[in-house]
Amino acid sequence: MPSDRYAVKSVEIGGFRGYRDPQRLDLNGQSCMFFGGNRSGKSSTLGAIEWCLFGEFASLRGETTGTLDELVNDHSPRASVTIELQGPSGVVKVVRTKSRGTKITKLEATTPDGKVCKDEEARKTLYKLIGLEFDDFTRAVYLHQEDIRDLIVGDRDTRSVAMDRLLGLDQLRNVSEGLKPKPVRDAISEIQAARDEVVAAITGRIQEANKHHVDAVNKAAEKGLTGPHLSLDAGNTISAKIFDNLTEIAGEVQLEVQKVTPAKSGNELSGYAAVARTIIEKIRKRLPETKQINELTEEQARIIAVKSDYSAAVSRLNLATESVRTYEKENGGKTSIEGKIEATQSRTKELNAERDQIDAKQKTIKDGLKYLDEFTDVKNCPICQRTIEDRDELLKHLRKEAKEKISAKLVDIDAKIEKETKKEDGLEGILRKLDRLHGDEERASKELEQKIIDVSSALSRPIKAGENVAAILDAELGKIKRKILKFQKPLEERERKFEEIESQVGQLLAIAEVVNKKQRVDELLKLQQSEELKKAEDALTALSGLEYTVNMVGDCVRGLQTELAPALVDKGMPAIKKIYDCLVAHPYYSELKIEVEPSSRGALKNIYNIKALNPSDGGETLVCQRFSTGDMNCVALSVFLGLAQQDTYSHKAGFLIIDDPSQSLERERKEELVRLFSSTHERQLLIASEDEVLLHLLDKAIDWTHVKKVEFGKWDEQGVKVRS
Amino acid sequence: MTDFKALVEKKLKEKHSEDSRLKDATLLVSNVFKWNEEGQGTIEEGLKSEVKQVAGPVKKDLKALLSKLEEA
Repeated sequence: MPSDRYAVKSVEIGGFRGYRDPQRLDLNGQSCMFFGGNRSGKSSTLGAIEWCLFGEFASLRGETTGTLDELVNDHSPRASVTIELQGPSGVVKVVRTKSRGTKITKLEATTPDGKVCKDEEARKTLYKLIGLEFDDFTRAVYLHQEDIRDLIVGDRDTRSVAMDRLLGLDQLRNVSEGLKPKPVRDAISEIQAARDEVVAAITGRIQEANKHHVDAVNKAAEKGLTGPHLSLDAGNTISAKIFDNLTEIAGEVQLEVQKVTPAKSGNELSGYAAVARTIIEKIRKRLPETKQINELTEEQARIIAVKSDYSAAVSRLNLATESVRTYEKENGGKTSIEGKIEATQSRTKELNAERDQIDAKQKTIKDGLKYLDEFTDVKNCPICQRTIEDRDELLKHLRKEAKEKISAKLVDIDAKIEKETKKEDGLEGILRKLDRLHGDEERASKELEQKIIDVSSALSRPIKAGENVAAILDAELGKIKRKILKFQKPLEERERKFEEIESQVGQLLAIAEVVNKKQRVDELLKLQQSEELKKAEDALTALSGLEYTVNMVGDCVRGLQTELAPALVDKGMPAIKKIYDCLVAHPYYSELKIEVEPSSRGALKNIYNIKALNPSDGGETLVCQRFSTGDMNCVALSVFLGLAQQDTYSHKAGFLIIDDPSQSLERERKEELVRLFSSTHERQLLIASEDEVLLHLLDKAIDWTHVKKVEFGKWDEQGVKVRS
Repeated sequence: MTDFKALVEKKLKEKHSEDSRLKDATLLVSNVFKWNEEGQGTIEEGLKSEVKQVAGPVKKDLKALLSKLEEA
């Protein structure tokens, strides 16, 4: 076995698939035959090697749970596989473990120098040592029973990859598959899109800024500013003029104005304009005329208010007096009304006396009638003692007197009493209202007296009786107005100066706006030449160059793949043919050939056609078209083992794993297979089989002191039974 | 074992001796075979990393510039 490759020294499996308790197989780099019945643990043993090295278990592909707990033995909490690989510089120990319930596996690799690395670092270390990823391992090292025939019947792309790997072109294949210009192109597109977006945004902002600049220029034109007057220098000239003027006026009111330096931007000019306006306001407040006018205006307002209050009080008193007069004219004075009330009361008294008299008469008549009714034999009037001549006539007369005359008189007199009472009530109401009007008049009079006191206080002089208060107030107001006019004249002159300065400030603001907008346009124009855009262009150039070189290298690599493959096939063909002759010994197709042609579809790659031919008559066929299943298996094994003998592989796995190689083979072929195995010394062979015929043939042909034999007993709850 | 890196470099020289990018391509070959030592998938990752080194800062700068423009 070549010393630069790694062979399996030992395997220790525990808690993995059928394995319950840890079991160790010491192979010491020797080839090994694993024999046992169906489900005895052979495939689990070979799969444990695969899983330990790569964390994958090909037999489970597509039929797994999320946590891959199928890998863990039902009676164990975790799976653990340890492999010792014997290599050129010593032993590499690889340990992979996985606990139930988690998909994550832990990997640890110890290199011959004692360095221990874990997980991703361990994966990288293993790759550097063996030079294989899982996919390559299943194509070039571990021929699964379901994959053996795939080399023949699989699709051309699968065969292309497998043959490239078997011929040792995997490095070139890795490069041609991994080195594609798409990531470069994608980055170019992304940068172009980002650059275009930025350029479009800058262009949009420039258009917007230009519009604002034009608007500012037009507004400045309305203030008579055009062309050369719209520069920063022009703004500074106006600014200096404004502050010179302000300094001069401010001195008059003891206000200090700080000097301004020439502005460097539109914003600074705007700031100066704001400062100038503040100074103007301060000066305005400090001017003596302003103070005087303010005081006089306040005095004027106070007098106007007093006058207004006085006039209102006079009006209210006049109105109250007029009301009293009008009422008295209509209803008479208080004495007259009181006399009328007295007359009414006297009349009522008389009527009540008259009523009492009638009432007594009525009572007498009623008593007489009652007496006569009670004493029927009375002959004389009980009152006057006159003889009663006709009793019935008397009763009739008395009843008529009581009912008609006296009652009528009472009704009449009651009506008169009521009338007099109402008249008295009305007169009392009139008297009350008159008293109220007099009260109003008195209050209005007192209020007016208070207002006159207020006027006196406002004018700071006493008001004598009979003086015309309104005229006095008008005279005072006239005096104040004249004083205000006297102070207003110089103030107006000052205000004209302020207006002139404010106009300059307005111009300064207009210039500042134009300068600002122009500065914005200039800033945006500079962005078009910005460092970011320059760098983007540089990056695009660099990436275009990278894309070019990626294509250059990719073309060369693919070219090499197609150039090298035929020569490598030719080199391997004698060994392949030799095995083919032994294993297949086809009665008609005695020769085997592998045609290599570059693919005419898509990216450049090799297409391999495995054909059988009859040299005597030129008959030719694709193996997959005419061969039996057993013969196809043999052809696949011929290619696999033939190329293995040539040592063309670029990886450093010095062992081959073959699962169930004798399936569908006749006894003669099995004999040939045994001969082949017994004469293969280039690689450590790890072969699993349940074929008893093969075992019998091997027993006869192989010296077991150089080859290990591991037999598997019947599997039970305790796990796999291994007998070495 | 075959030195494929040397083979690719030789092939590049034969095919592109006049090409101004030959030096860049040769450097890329060195990188590619270095990445390959790490495992199959790392060639693509290595190339992407190269691309990212060039494109990453530029994309970031352009994005920042665009944000600045949108804020203004």
